[in-house]
Amino acid sequence: MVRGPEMNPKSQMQLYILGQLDEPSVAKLNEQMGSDPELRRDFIRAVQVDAALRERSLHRAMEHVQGEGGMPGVANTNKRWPWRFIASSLALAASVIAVIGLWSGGPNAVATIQSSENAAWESPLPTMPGAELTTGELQLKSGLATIRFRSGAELLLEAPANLELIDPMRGRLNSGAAMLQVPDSAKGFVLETPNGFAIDYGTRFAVRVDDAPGLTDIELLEGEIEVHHDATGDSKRLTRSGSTATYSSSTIEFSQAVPEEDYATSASQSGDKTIRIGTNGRCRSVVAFEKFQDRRIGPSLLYVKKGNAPNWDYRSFFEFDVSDLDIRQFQTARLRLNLVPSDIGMAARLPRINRFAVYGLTNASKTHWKSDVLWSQSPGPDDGVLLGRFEIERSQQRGVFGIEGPALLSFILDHGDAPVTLIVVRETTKNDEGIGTGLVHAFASDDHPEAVGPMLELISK
Amino acid sequence: MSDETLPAAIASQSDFIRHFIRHEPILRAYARTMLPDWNAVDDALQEASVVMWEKLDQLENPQGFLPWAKVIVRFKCLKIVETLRYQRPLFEQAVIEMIADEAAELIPDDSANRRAALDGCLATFSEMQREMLLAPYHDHGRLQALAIDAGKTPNAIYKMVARLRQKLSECVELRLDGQGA
Repeated sequence: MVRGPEMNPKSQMQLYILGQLDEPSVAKLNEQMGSDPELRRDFIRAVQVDAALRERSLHRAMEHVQGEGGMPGVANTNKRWPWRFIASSLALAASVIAVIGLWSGGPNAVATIQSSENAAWESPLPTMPGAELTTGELQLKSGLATIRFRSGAELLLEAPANLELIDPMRGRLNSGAAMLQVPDSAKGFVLETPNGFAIDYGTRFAVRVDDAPGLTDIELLEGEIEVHHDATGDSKRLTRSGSTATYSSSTIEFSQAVPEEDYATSASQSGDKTIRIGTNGRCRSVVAFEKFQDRRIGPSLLYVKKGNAPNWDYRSFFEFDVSDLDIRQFQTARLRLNLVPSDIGMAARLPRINRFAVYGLTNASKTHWKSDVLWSQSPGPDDGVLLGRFEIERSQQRGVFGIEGPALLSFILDHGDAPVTLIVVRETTKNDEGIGTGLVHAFASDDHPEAVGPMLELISK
Repeated sequence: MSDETLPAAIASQSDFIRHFIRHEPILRAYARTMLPDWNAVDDALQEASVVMWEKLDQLENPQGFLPWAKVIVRFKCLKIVETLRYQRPLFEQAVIEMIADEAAELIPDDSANRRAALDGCLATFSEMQREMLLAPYHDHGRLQALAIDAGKTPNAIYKMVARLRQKLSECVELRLDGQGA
């Protein structure tokens, strides 16, 4: 690392691009960059020159290859994308090679460790967050860890546990407890356990394998799974939240959870009808420090945060238009938000459980909020009524969250003749008093490139 | 190949790859404004290309490919930066986002002009200086060897390279301005 105090910022940014600038100089340059648009422009130009230089150097390497049949001294450059440079001259060949380059991931990677909570491992596989995992066995000694399979299936593993990674669509829990979340991309994900297996047809279930008595408990939380039992050959689809299957080496038992009152008339029985309504672009996130609204908030994420410095609080709100529907026919309403990895702040600074509240907007003067409204004019908790709360563990970066119940339904029944606005705030704040940023939770907006935006589900018989 | 000869939306894999390859230099440079090295850029583009392929039905017409692709690349890069932040000193997220926002506008489709300007400028440097400018893209040994040849410490060589690159950068901008680009 090079110390650069005597160099001008423009030379320093070259060292930064080369990865050679030491930490204090980076911090100083960071400050200058933050306040000087000219300097940022120079930086972008410098990166473009870097890109062109690199291309030039690779072209030279290619000439060597053609001339001498070797690539002397070229390392670390485009290992995985050699086809780019062949592409310009051999367009046809490029499209064939590109398919391979594009669609194959890292060698044999089955999953990555997404996050961990005090996790201690005993494993021949790498166990740092972000580590790519190949097939093999993971032994979690303590704590919690989220394993994301390449298919998109996500498993929150609770110690002590032993998990085998088999392929991107299959894992085996030999012991321990886990919650499995399966998005559309991984429908059909199979989780094996001793004596049986479960196929997930979407969304969430919980599983516990107790190796001492040799029992497996599976509970459906949301969506649909199919459970198979090896010894009896029994299998059954579970479709109602709270349904469970318990099996040992010889027997299997299914039970239907007694539905809670709120759910009594809801979901999943045949003849039910679910209508999903999106916000149609009417979702917005605001930061209390209004000057930073455009700098901080991109269009794809809905931020929610409460911190020690109220200036940096975020909240989000969104609108559902149910006025065209005969809303009296619905017995259940559910709000679904897609949690996505946030780009601001540190999760470790948060309490382990983070509580969120959803309000329904009742203040008529704010109902027609503009799509560029700022914090002070935007709908907040004081403008509405509390409809429900939900919790997110800090170790979670993805998943579907939201509220469901009579308060949400009756709010929609009362106000649904015009578009209704719901407001999400975080109630819990940061753990420590330090100045660093706690995680700003982010939910997908309608513009999110991967996940769906806020959804209102209305269910009728 | 120009966009006009393509169908209204990108339907086939080969169409997609053609578009991707055509815009890839811009996307790579754009990603590099957020990411600290080219390996990370490779990862980001690889991941982004998969998302693009999966989300292709969101794209209404081929003219919208580049801005749409930039949004996906930006998202991937900011995610990757989070993990790299623990390994080396980087600009703060807010600053990286500002750079990304501005780079999305500033990086134009002028790669041919830029390449010509670069070649023109490189020609004004000595053979030794050209070696030093291109050395960082080869293995680390190359720059070390240059340092030893020149009787300098690696740090001193990096500083020289940084100054040369700054000169080169200014030269390229001057040439591009001269062309009215």
